[in-house]
Amino acid sequence: MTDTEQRLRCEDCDCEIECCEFCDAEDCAKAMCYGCVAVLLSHSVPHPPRAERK
Amino acid sequence: MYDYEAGKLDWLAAGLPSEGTNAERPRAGDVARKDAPTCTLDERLGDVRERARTAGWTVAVVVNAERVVLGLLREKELDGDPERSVEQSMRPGPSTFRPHVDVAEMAHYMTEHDLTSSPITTSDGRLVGILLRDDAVRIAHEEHRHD
Repeated sequence: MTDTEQRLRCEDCDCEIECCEFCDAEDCAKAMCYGCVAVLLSHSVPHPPRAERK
Repeated sequence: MYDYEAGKLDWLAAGLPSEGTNAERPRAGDVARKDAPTCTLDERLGDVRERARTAGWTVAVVVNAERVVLGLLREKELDGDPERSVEQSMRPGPSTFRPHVDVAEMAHYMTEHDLTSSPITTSDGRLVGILLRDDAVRIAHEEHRHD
């Protein structure tokens, strides 16, 4: 397995992350990035809105 | 009339009072335990561990003089070398959550991520308390029964 394949990815937007922003775990099965956690918990709204993303 | 320039989300994130139907729902800041043990960077880990465990806690929050959260000592970190300092042992910059977040949402995601406790802070990083998953799940179930 290469380094790239081992990298953690946000389950929601698929961006590369070092650890899950919700639980800080580096091997989280439901890993999320900071932006997705912020949106999820109503700290911010997504831009562009999810419906407009391709 | 008061113009809060930082905006509505920041008002809620600071744990300030709100009105309306949603304001009656239990929030993370309401349920968070305000008696969570705190410590400073220069303390000895062994002293903090003893203080936390005597009070029945498996977590301690590292704060500065203004109660801004700097780090977290979960069970794994508390079990470290008692002679080391808190600064050497802590998990720096932990994920924190705002007081206005719905408890049911927190319960759901804490369960999904197997997180037993989460620090609740204002938007400027000051500690409000520690939300325990067991508390969040219990309150969420009670709320669900009332709906």
